[in-house]
Amino acid sequence: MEKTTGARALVKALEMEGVGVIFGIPGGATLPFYDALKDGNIRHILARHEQSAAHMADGYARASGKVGVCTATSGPGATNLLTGIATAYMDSSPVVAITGQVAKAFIGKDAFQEIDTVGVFTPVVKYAFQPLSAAEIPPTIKKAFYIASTGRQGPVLVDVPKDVQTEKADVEYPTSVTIKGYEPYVRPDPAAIKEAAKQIIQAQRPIMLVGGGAVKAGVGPLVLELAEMLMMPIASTLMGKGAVPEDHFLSVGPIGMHGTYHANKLVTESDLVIGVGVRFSDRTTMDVGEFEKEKVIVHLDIDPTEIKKNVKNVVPVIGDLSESMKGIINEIKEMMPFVKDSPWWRRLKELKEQYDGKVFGDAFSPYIVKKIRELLGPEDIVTTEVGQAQAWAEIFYKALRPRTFITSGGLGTMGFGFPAAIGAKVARFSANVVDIAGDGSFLMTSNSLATSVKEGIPVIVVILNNSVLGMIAQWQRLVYNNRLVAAWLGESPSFPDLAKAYGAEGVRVNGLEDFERAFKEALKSEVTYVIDVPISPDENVFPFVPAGKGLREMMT
Amino acid sequence: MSRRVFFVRVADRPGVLYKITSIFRRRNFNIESVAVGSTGAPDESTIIITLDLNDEEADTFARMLRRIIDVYSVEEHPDNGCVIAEPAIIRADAISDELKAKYSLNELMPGYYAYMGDPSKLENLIKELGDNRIKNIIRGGLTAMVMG
Ligand SMILES: Cc1ncc(C[n+]2csc(CCOP(=O)(O)OP(=O)(O)O)c2C)c(N)n1
Repeated sequence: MEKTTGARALVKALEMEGVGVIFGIPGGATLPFYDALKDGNIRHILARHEQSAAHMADGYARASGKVGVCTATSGPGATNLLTGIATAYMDSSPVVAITGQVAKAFIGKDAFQEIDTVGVFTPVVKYAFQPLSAAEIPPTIKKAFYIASTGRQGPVLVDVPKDVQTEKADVEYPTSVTIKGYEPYVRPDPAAIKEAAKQIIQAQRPIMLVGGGAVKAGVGPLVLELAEMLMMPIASTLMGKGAVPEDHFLSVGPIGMHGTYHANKLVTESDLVIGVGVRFSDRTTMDVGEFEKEKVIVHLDIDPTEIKKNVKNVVPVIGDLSESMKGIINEIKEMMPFVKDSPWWRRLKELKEQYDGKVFGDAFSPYIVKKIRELLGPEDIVTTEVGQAQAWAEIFYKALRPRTFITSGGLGTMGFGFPAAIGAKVARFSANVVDIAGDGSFLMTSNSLATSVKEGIPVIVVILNNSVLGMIAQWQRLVYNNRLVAAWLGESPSFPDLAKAYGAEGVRVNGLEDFERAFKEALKSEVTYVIDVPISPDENVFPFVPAGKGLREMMT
Repeated sequence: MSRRVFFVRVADRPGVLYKITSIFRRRNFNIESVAVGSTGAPDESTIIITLDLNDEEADTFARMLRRIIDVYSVEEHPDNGCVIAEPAIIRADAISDELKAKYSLNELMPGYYAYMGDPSKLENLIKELGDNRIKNIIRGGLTAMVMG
């Protein structure tokens, strides 16, 4: 028990959760909190827009597996934060957002910079708290971190009225936490495991599909073990990239709207899909009726509300992924010998030999992406923006370790990649971090250049600069009869000049060799390095499955 | 489509109803009735929601409810598996003793009557009284209990 202010209690509670860094922008309603931060041991990284602060915290969380923390003031600070928090929510990323709120007596009176932050955030957070006394702060923070980091992870909001920050009270710091009705750890049911194993061994053409849950649970080695026992292909979702090394002989890369040709083909031909920490999103399955036709789907997930949400015809195993995988592996070991050869394995080999890394059409972007892979180490990190650049990275960048491919999969937020890269670099300073960007997306959060330079957080931005909102142009060409509208960005600004204006480095390159030279320079640079790569505005990303179509209807 | 009754045990805390009604709004479900009741358990309420949904919608609704941390449990029952009652207060000109007895009306204050019972019987009462005799009516929403 100690007598202290709410703000100091907040800082201390964060420190006790192991928080070493917080991303944010101060404001009137968080001044007491910032004042307390000055005396604490938490590094504050000043963002230049709250959306970026949230993406930084999210990038930090995704790269490290730890909870990322961001903060904003009330009103506009909070609303600016919203896109970043919604992004974290859609990808189940553990972020705690701390917002200031006007003093309790002003709530509901349209006071200066007052909005109903809890009301606005509730649909996009796992939980929203508003402590109403200083004494409530430490237990609230304890619960917030517990909720964010357990079960199916997700962002949590803590909205702290200004007078609660300044109030003095006797506070205690709890060391444990329980929340009624919240039981994040679920042990899988042995009968469900048995049934899943039985279905799996009966399959002729099984395929594994790993998702973001597999990355978070770290079950890559177990996935490999099972896949090698049965010699079955391992596909992933966009969020599952890196759960297993994509250069493994059984890995076929992602399926979906921009999956690899062979992965989409194999999943279409399979008679059983083992989904590990996936939610069978529309971007992954495409036409879902077609996807599940004539297939058994074994669905392993920690979140019971995901079972039968999108695909209906499933054999579910609900619970901790690692327990579930171990259980299934043990069952199968007892039931059948390892597969060494099969027509399905030969089919996998044949398709992979033909299509692995294959570039359809005459696009140049894939070669840049492949070059980045070649020049980076396995532990280095790639983030992406959203659009064609993201799709190129999805198809052609092979992630070799979990948490080294960071992208906004669920919300598809342009402007995510650059601040997320900064957050990831803070989490893993020894790794090189590269944002694979489109020109349109980069402009949404390029002012984070100021943060990266001033705070000494060097990352590399590779802009696939096609002078268009490329993915919009692609859809307009392929789906809207070539009627291009509002897709043209033009050649403005000059990205190298923009980078230099912030004190970063920037260079425009010409061709693959020039790119390689620049990228090697960038790897040595002590400041953020922007590489501007001219790309034809006419490039289309292939394979491409148009919305509403089944995975077998790939355009190439 | 069929009429279903959801019994949702929730934390007795501000903001919980907001989360639940947000689901109706988000999915455009037309609710027939929502009643918040207490079951005697401390810090806990039961929300009784009656609405018409098809199987797929009911599944989605239950799923969205279960995702809310403040929701402890969700049970769904067809309406014919439940005992259902609805309260109402009716302001009307002097109602005959015969009607009062037929509908077990309780005169709270002169001209103000309380009804509690089968919702379809309440419909009959309203018909029998007719618009010009009812000056005001407030229906309290369906409350229910699973049979057996
Ligand atoms: C915040 C936001 N606004 C709009 C969109 C819709 N959108 C998706 S891709 C895209 C174009 C992206 O252009 P660019 O960043 O230049 O990347 P490219 O597709 O050219 O690689 C747009 C506008 C989005 N995903 N996010």
